[in-house]
Amino acid sequence: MQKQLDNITIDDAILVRRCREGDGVAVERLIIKYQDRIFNVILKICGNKDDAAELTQETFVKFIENIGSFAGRSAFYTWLFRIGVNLTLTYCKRRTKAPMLSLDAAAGTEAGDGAAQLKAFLADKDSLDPAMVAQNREIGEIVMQSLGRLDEDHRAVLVLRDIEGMAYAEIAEALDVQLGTVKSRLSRARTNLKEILDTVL
Amino acid sequence: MNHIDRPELEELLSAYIDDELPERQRTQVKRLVEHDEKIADDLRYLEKQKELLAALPVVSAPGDMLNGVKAAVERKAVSADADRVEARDEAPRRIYTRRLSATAAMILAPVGILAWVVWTIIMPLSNPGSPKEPLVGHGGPGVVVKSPGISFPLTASLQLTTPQVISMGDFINKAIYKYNLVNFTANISAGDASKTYTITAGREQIVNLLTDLAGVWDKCDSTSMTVHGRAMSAHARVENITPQQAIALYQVDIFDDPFRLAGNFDRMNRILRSMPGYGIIETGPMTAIELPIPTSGIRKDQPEQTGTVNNATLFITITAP
Repeated sequence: MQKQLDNITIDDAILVRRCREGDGVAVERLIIKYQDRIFNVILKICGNKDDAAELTQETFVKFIENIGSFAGRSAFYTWLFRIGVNLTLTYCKRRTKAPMLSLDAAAGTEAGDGAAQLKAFLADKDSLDPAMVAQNREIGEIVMQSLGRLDEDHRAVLVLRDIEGMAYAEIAEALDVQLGTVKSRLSRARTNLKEILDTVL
Repeated sequence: MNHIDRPELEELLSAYIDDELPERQRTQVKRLVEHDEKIADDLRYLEKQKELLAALPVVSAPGDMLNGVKAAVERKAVSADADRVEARDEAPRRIYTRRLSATAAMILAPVGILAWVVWTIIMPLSNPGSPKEPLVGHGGPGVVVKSPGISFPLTASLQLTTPQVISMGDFINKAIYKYNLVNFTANISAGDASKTYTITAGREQIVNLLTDLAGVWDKCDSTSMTVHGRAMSAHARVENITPQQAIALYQVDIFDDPFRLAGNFDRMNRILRSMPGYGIIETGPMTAIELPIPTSGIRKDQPEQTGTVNNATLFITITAP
């Protein structure tokens, strides 16, 4: 048990052990600790707030159902993200693709300041703070819709890497794929996202 | 200089900005960037794109997420669906376990079927009038009963604590009669303070009985079930078991593990009950237990149940608080 616990933080180790013993308070603390991160990742992958809320809820339900089988060979949060991402990818692949707002149409509307700013930022023609750029609502919508046009598997690796900040090995664990697959998917995702943004901007 | 193909270059640049390259390849990328302006532009773009994504605002989960999870877990705790464990954190072991399970299933399934066929041939035929599908109706809301598949012997003890020991005993007696379990039941009555029944019958019949019992489950102060293994020391106990969970345990087939399922049920029940704000159901004044009425009246004309696939045992113990 001690060797297994080495893979997770001390806080999580204690909480996980108490969860396995049936402690509802520990379960609550883990949910509160991770709910925003899980929801944010799922939202960026599925693109819809209501769907993301349901999928996040289902993730934690599955966590509670299956905590008994978590042996600690991976980080707890990697295991939790694996549940959430698997649920989300399954959902995304099953649902009928909702009609996407045409990115070309959006780019041609009056509100082009955001697109112009984004273009300048990506071309490294200004020194704007990326956080300031990303806070722009129009830019945020362009980026989210561009992400939505990626293949689900590519979108997932990009979100886990650039938004959640997972290392390649953690992404491989979460998606249950080889490290090489993570590298190649991430590379394709970034290239494809660039192509999508180029058509808009 | 650039004898590297485009996909390979893109992968190198992508891993470079993530600091996931070994030193040798990092040096290679630096040289490429120094000597090719286009590659340098590509690298800068990737870095800016990555910065942009990382800077996207974090959206918080809805404020009622925790309550939603609690409600969903409560619903699952009373669901008759026995979910298999899907999330495991050891991928190689999962693949190995799947293969082992598939192999075991390929061997055990035909053996199980053959054993059942031989058993039904050499034992007296079952009552042709007995229902082929388990009855639903007295089980209360949310009870979905399905016919169990290929199964193995299961022994479990159900402990019910209720101030209405006599009424509960009468209820069980009626249900035993209703499902033709009289010849498969040993009734050990220790007085008005406790009653014990030992039922050895087909799983389907036991599931029928439990389905009826679900209708009076709320008359019990406490309920628990212990699943027994072949070894005396092997058992799994479920505190505060719901009727749906008890039914699910008797519907486990060879692809599932009743001990694991019992453990999951017990854990979920304990988590639910220890979560802050878990509702205490107000039962109000205790009402009398309504006895099930056989739809065809007293079944004097029904042949006795002489033979079934006896692959399950249920001990029921009723005690006063």
